[in-house]
Amino acid sequence: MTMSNTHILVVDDDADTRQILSDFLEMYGYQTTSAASAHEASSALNTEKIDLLITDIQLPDGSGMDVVKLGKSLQPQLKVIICSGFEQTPAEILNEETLWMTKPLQIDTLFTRIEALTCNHLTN
Amino acid sequence: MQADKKTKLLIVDDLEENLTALEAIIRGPDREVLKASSGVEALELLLLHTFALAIIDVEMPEMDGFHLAELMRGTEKTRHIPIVFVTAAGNELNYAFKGYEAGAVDFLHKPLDMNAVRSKTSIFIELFQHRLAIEQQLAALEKSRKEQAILLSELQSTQLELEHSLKMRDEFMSMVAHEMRTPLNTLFLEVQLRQTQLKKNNLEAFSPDQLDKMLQRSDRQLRSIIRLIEDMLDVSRIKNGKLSIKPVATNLSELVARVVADLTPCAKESGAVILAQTEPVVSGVWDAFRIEQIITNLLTNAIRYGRGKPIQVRVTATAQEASVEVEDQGLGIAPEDQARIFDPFERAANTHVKCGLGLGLYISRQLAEAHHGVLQLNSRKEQGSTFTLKIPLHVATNTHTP
Repeated sequence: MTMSNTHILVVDDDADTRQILSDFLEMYGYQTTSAASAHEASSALNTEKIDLLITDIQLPDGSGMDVVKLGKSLQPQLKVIICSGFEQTPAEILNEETLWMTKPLQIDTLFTRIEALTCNHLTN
Repeated sequence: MQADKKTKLLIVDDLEENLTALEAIIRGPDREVLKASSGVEALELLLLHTFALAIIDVEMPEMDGFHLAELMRGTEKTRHIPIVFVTAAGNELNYAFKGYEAGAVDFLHKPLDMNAVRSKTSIFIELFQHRLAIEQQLAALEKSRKEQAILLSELQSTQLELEHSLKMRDEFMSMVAHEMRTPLNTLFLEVQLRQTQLKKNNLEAFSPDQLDKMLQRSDRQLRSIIRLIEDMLDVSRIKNGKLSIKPVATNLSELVARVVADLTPCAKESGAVILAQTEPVVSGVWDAFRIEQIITNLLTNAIRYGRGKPIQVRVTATAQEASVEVEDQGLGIAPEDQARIFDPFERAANTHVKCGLGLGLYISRQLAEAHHGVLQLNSRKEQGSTFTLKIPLHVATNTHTP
């Protein structure tokens, strides 16, 4: 499996963040879909096969946490990186398949985490 | 020494000449001697005054000295007044016995020895003053105990307030951090993206078109950081009564049209259009920068909470005042939230949107009031909100004190 097969859904209400993050991910060969709201994220999760979800917590129409729960229920193999400007880590949702990163994102760290998550995915 | 500060002495004798003689012996500048010619008269005085000592003749018609003493011992107010009985010499033993039963403290014998009378009186006055001093100390002690209790409860409530303030501060810091990190994240990602592209020698990414987009993005993020800092400073200025406005001749219609044009791309992104109905010229003397801040805040909120539906902006004027209405078709604000949303750090409860620090409406209303105007809200649930700014056409320079 090559990286290009890994499909990442980027959810953030800030258009600039979505754009840059998608550009970055695509530059490294990932396939991306982006969503500006919980609603848009849920339609992507309902219609497309997503390997990794990168989501903000505060969305205009809901919480990123709900997007994570929906994603896991629709696609149980889904890996998640939550990116938030808040420090809080709701322990109940975090595990080896769901990570928390605090903004601003260090891109090297982000890619290391993405690789680790998607490699685990391959071995499973 | 004031009259009421003088130590009061009571002398009781049925013979006027005895009273006069006794008074002459015991009187002094720090004393007031009250005379009673019968037991009944003595009881009346005892009710009205506080005595350091009662010198009572034993042999009196109707009520004798011992009877008077018994009545004195039976009443709380007079129970502790020391009594010195005056007896005729030769009767000491009998009288002494009866006197002690009645609670007598001492005896003087006729004919009176002036020195003995004086020194006994002085001793009782001294005792009385000691007792007074102790009572005062006790009262002072009790007073300070009560003050301490009040202080303690004040301290406890201050502690609660302090804990609340600390909690507010922590929440505020966390919100500020969040609000700073969001634009910083975009800027930081942008820089990292450009560095990577440079390393990869990807010069296409630096075409004029791409560079323009990059600059626009950075500009937006930097502005949002600047706005955040300005908002925090405005709150501090309002709290310190240092929010000042600098009125200049301004065309409100032009100003509103400019803000609408600036925010149209942002509205488009949320699927909304801004429909402006403005009278061509609405002129007045206002702080243009601050009015722009209010309109920007109202429109940003309308875009943020307006569910992508059309937003109406109306600018009108009467002979006295100008008004700007911003109407959205969002979820509306519940009656119980309508006052609260103008408080700092608040937003309506029914929204998931938690952008910004929740300072915009607070600052806007304070700015409206600094212009001697008002910022009003008219909203019904599910039917959207209309914010109306009304400002007099001319406003004197002032410093607004909340």
